[in-house]
Amino acid sequence: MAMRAIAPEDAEAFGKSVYERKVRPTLNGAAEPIGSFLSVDLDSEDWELDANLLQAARRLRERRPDADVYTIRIGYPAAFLSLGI
Amino acid sequence: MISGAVDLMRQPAIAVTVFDSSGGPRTTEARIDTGFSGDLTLPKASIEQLGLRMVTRASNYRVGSGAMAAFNAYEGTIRWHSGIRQITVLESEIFPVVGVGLLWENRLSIDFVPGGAVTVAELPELDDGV
Repeated sequence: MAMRAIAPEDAEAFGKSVYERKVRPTLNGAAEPIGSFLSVDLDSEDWELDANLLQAARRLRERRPDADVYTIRIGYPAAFLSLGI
Repeated sequence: MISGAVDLMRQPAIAVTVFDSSGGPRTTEARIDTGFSGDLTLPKASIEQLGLRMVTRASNYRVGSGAMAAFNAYEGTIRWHSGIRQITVLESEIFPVVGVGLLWENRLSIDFVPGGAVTVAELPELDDGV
């Protein structure tokens, strides 16, 4: 698995851009999947969406074993939140 | 019901049993953090000993400071109540932490006194009709 060095902010922005360009057009007017996890291959822009992070990432990896997978959460600043200062 | 105790640093903690890649159970103490949205964090050395498979990178946003950091996320299998559960394990160098992802649909009870009782109990099945 060749992982590129990418800053978290840039990975989040890239994931959001894949959502806007490739995922949102497939919703066909359905409600935005707020809270769902979007796993994106940073190289091919292939993606998987699921309410469960593990399921999204696993499905993408099954199809693309060498993918450089980054996962974002739709409607959230990141896949995970913590309250720490 | 899962039982634990409040430790010397006043943190509620429980024992979590994670299975290694051969199916062997390994139990570790984990502190409970209801401010963390994920399932479980483990130090890199523990993840390597367990032989967990990395599935993605993902970021954590610290609401208190606005800081963002990327982590490797692994698939893990744990014992949870009377069953087995597949969870996401985040690599973190700090002490193992249990978050709200793991506690979801459970009731957490903490007696905040030295050595106080910590319990995690399954909530009854939610009624879909409500």
